[in-house]
Amino acid sequence: MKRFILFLSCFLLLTIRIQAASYTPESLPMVYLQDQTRHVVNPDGILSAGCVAAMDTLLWNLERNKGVQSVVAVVESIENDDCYEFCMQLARLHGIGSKANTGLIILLSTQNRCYQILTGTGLEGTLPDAICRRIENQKMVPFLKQGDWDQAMYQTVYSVCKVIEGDPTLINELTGKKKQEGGNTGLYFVGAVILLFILISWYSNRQRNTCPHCGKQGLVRMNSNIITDRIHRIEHHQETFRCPHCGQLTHRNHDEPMDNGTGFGGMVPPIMGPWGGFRRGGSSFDGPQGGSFEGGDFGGGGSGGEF
Amino acid sequence: MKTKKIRNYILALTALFSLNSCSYNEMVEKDEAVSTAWSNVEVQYQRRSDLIPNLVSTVKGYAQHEQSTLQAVMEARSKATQITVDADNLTPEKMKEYQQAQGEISSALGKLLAITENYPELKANQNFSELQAQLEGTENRITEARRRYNESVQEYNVLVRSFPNNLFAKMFGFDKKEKYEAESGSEKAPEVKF
Repeated sequence: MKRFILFLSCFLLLTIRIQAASYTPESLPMVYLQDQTRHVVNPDGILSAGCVAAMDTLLWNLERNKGVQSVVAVVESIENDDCYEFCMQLARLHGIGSKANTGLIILLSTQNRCYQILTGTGLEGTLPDAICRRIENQKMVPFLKQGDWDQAMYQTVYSVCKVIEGDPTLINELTGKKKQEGGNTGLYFVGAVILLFILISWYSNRQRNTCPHCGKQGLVRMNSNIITDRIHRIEHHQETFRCPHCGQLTHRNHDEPMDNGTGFGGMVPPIMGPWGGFRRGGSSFDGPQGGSFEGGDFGGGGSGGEF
Repeated sequence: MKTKKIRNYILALTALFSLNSCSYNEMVEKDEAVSTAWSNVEVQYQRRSDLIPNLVSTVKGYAQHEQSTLQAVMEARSKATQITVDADNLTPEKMKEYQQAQGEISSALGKLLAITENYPELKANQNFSELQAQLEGTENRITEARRRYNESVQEYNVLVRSFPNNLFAKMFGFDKKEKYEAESGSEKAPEVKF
């Protein structure tokens, strides 16, 4: 009886395990859509966290530098046992890849014992089928046979990145402006506005302090009168400065619209402007930013196999 | 009263023409899409055809005893290269001929790849492995190109055959187009011998 229960529980465990892990292209979670820095899909925890992080970094750089949008998936089991079909359906479903069709999918299913590198139509020239096969033969399959999934995937992704980075014709311009770079441009713009504001205020301050007679800095205000014209709502400012260098007096008159006496009325908006910009720019740090696939096209290029 | 009648006529005519021109342009668009999809199918088959001499010469280096199989592949290839189908002239007969010729290449290639299993040295050859990958990739591309061709034909056929477009389609010579059916040879399951 004991043995029977043990057997039954083993059997149940096995079936649960198999049922839980079989993925369809629709049910495979696309972490990239939630966080654009994550390209590796590892729902069954087959890869170690360190390996996933290392590959994410490589692939994130690849997307930034070369405009290659990639998905690397490692699962226990897929439906229909066909890695190629799975990848093609995944590509069609999500439209992985940029407008230049430089999408890349790498899939490993450990129970089906199949793997596939699938290249978008724009990537077939950079990463021809033969090169995919060579990478698989040399960097992937030897480790797969040992069951070293981490090494197999990392070596493959590393080699693929090296090949793609070696292609000077692939540039990120093909994909248009990336969101991240757009954010940077915004920051630069805000910085430039602040700098300009500082420069202008410094220059006008300098002008105000310069003696018109000897051209030296350091005018000292001796006297200041404000005549208020309530009918036209204008304040006439009359100021007298004395130059400490040549001793001459300088009179300056200017009119200002009447305000409620703060005197800072004109100053506030330029300061608030850049602040608003900062706060908008800062929102990108609140949490992970979701990526989006741009409808890349896959024609069936790439290479796959079984081990 | 008369002016109202004339106005009604003009309205009816403009409605008719705008409807007609809309579906006419759409038909042209779909027709072009089918042509493009077909030329892509042909490109992929051509690509496979270009790979064959390289593959044959690689296999020849390891398997001299398989002359007849190699010969069959080369013959099927030379026969198929003579048959091309113009994208503007996709008649059912022409399509059938083309499919048959390409199907023969497929089955000859299948036999060739099956015998390579007997030569472990050949299988271990890096060059052969990569050639095989190219061939597999090309077969995948062919499948994909055919799928897309069939999709575009379906869209076109639905447009051309539905009412009232079918009236105009007949007038302007937009005929129903043929899909690419499964290859001849693939309908009979491969024989397994032990």
